[in-house]
Amino acid sequence: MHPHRSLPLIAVALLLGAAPAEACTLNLNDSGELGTLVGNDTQIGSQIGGGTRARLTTLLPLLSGVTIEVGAPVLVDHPANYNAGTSTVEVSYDASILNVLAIRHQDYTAGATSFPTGVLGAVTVTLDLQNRVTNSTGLPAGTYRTRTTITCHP
Amino acid sequence: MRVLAFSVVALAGLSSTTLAVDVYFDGEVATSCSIEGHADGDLAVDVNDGTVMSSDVTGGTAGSVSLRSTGGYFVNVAAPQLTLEGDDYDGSSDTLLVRYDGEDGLASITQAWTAAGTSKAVSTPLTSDLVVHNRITNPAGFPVGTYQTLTVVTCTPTAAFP
Repeated sequence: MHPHRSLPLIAVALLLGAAPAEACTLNLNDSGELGTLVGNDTQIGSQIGGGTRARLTTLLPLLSGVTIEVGAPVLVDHPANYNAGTSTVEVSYDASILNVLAIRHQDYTAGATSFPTGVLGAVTVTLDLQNRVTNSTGLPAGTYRTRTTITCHP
Repeated sequence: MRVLAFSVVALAGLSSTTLAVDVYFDGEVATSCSIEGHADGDLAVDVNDGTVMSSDVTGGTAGSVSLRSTGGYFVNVAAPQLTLEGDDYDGSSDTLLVRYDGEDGLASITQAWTAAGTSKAVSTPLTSDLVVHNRITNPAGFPVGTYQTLTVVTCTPTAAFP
């Protein structure tokens, strides 16, 4: 009887011991698109005029929460005559478990933010990201690209 | 023991983790130009020179055209036309002139008095004004009556005038 009772205890100890060494997997499902709207001369964004959100999924390690960091968005491509001095790049996002249970909402911000997932077990967190660029001196014709770096760590 | 071994291998599969992802958003602002509105001007006879009727003398006012363009377009200002004149007006030796200056996003645009149509490349993502003056010079003077000039302003992808 004694060997049979000790087996489950050993298994739990191994699982908990292994979890901190794992971080999380980040998978980019969809890149985003920035849209424009007639009559809005100062903004291009994923929530206006044909824009689309980006989506990535995070597979959390078993019984170990992680912190997800959303970096400050950066405008990495713009027309040559763009006035970067009056430009603001912002990100907002919604995080949910299995795209059902909301766990975090972040309004548009130009800064970096982070949030802990909590100890959720081995589940998938979906992160829907929005980006927008605002420029009080307008947006000349050309190609625009923003970059937001997402990281996670124990 | 087989159960234990399986659990450890499953966790090891998560160890090949990606810890950072760059998320990109791409967008395109198309070339465009639109005329958002305009205001008519007024002509007045120059009190010091009865052969000149102009919008930039005392009593006259400039016209203006509001436009916006993300770039890739030209604003074309056609040669002015005389569309109304006094009954006894002799236009055989008159000259119609136009000049204009941009404001705000069009501040780099300027055109001195000319009788010809002109085109300028235009990029003003925010709506800005083009201030337009007209002038009629006529050695025969201006008989009593109503005078009106017309200057057509357009936006096109290619220059309408040299």
